[in-house]
Amino acid sequence: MLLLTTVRSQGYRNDAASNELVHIHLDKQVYVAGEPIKYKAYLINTASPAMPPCSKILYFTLEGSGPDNSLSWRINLDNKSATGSFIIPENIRGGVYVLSAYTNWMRNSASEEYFSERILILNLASGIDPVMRIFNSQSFQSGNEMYANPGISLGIDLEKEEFAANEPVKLEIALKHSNQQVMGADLSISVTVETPFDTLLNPAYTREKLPVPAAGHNRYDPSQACRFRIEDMGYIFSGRIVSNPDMNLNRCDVWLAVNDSISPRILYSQVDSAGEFLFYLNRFYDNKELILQLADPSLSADCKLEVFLKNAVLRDTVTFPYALQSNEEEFLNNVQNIRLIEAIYGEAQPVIIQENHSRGSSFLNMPDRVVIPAEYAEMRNFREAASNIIPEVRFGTRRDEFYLEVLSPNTNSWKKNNTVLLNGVPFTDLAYISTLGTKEIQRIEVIQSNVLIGDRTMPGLVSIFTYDHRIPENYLKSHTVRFQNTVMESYQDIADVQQFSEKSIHYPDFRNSIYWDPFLSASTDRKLVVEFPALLLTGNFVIKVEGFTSDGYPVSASQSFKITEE
Amino acid sequence: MVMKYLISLLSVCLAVLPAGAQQGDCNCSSADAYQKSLQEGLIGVEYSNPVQGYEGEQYLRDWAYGEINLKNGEVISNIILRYDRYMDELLWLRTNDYRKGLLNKSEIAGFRIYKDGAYTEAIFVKKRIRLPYLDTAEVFVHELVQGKLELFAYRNVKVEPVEFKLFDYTKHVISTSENDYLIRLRRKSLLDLPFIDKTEMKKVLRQNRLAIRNNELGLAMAIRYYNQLNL
Repeated sequence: MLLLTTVRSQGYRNDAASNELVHIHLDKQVYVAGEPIKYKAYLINTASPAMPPCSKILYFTLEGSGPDNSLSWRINLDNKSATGSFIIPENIRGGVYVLSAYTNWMRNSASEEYFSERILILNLASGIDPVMRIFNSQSFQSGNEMYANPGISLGIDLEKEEFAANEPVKLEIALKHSNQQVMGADLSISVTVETPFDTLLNPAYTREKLPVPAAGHNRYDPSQACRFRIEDMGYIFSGRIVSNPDMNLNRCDVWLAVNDSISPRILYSQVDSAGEFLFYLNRFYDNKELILQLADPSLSADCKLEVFLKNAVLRDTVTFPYALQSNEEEFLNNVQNIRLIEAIYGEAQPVIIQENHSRGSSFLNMPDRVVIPAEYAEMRNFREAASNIIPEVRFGTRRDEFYLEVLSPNTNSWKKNNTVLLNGVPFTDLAYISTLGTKEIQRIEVIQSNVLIGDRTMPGLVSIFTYDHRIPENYLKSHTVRFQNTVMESYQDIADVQQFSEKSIHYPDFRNSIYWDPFLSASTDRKLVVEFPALLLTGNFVIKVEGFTSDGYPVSASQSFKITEE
Repeated sequence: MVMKYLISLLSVCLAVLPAGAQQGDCNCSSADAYQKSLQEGLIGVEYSNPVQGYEGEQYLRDWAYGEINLKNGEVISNIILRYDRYMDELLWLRTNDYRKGLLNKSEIAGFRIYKDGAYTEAIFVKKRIRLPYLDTAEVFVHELVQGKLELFAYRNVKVEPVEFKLFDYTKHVISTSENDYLIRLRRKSLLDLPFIDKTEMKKVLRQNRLAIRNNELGLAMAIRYYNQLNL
């Protein structure tokens, strides 16, 4: 039986500064804190939609009303699409949130170009407030309706309108091209219970009900068109030096390091005339704590480091109280109950830790000498260690100050260098180093020659690796700026997520999102068949299929059906 | 004449258009800034010449612009490089103070040196070759021929005892998919290689009038022509 389907197809306009279009297909619209937001992200270069996009990094911001109520994360993209999930923290405030997705390049455009969608998040701990705060913003995306491309369409063919609980649901997805051209499409499908919030979460409704104040500034400034570069060569990690106006910023160069027990992987950046520094980080630096500090520690009193964050900021927001209707309150109570049942009976999501296969470059040459203190008799402090087992290093106190000297092989003279690398991180607190003995130090490496780092020259270098791989917290707080470079896992194809298979035993099954498959592949020359069981939960459900054709054109279709009791 | 001009103009436009279309109106690619950040952040140990004052060709030509291919896939281009044949190390010239740095060989997959900043003059790759004194170490070898059979030159120099001289110790290696073979610049050495079809190679040498004896170019041409045969 062929039912009527809602078919919408879209095309492009090319008036944006970035030429990139992001679309996110979410598994549902109503979540409970602690649940994962499952999504499939599509990124299209509208200048050449069939080609892979230039940007390789996609940012997400989840913003709710009220101060300090936003979350951000990012994923890596190797192709036009990637799938992933984000677990909503248990302590998040309940309410309406806006999920925005964008690339660094898109930040040149007005934030209306970002993908944005409203979702509703409930919190089991705080219960359901009968009055909810809804907000609207100038930044909200105006919608994809204008991207009409009438040549391509997507249809859902469902065998009947009503299914009994546990009965298998079978549907066919047909991709059509008006010219009978054979083409494929990368699709995702979600099947969720119909919510009473469709109107509330619809941007058109809030635009109508909530007129936002006129923007106080230009939406898009063409002169700023290339301010944010494409992240095609890696993650751009940038910031600036804040100092007094008389300060010569050229002296405030910056180190970036990560705590590493194998070899130091320090990066160096010179600041420009505006005091800005920039690093291009490859995937080796993903999910690592980045430690930034000034190359010249004597300037730390005058220069402060500031990291540029890339969070989307919703501007000109306005909020208003919304009294829940009885059916809406009932629905939310149901969602909470289902979440409680799921928490007891549902199978825990396996946590897959993706191995970081990327290699970071360590340009520091092989050391001239490697000393393993454990091979010698016990020495209580670094001074003893230096004088007994590292003849190339002199360490001690002079005029109540610690000093460290390295014997230069060329001139046969001692050269002072008060910076060591402690577990891969530049470290200048020699008083702390003096306390390290053979019980703490695992390995000492010495480079005797001058080390050229960017435009700096260090007279020899001593690297100390400790057993606990730690840098003293006090030092990190006072001398460095730390940044947790968190990247959420993303998957390009189904082979990566076999562990997430929905085929696992799931009984009793009351999920309100009954089917989610982000890895559908359709073609105009054959229909795609999808099967899933109708679960125990009765009511109206919505099937949404969204995606992009191989030519890079967006397609979507939706279809409703009903599950009744057996 | 006008037609010829129009055709050439059209061909130039066609060649340029796709590149522009890739980036759209706003070319915000990071490639330049990325290269600049790699160049500015280079790290190395200051070079000191262990055979200072020795006679001989210690370096492969003078300082020249080139690019480095790192093992992790990154490419650092437009830096001034020089290859030290004695140490088998790649040197980099820091232009703001003309200090010479020794780059970390273990991170480098290969490098290329340009002539007059334009075309590639030499491509070096890091390769493990079997020489008694090298053991298992990887060395930079000059790539002379690519293809089914590959020809490399290990452009080493050694110290002449007592005389403060460096003598040329270049070794040539032919690589197949399975193995590497040291070869001398002799016709017999080439023809004796087990994977070479003697008759065909003789034909190649005769037809192209190639002499191999102490002639690296002749050997390279012979291997190149041999690779083109459908054997």
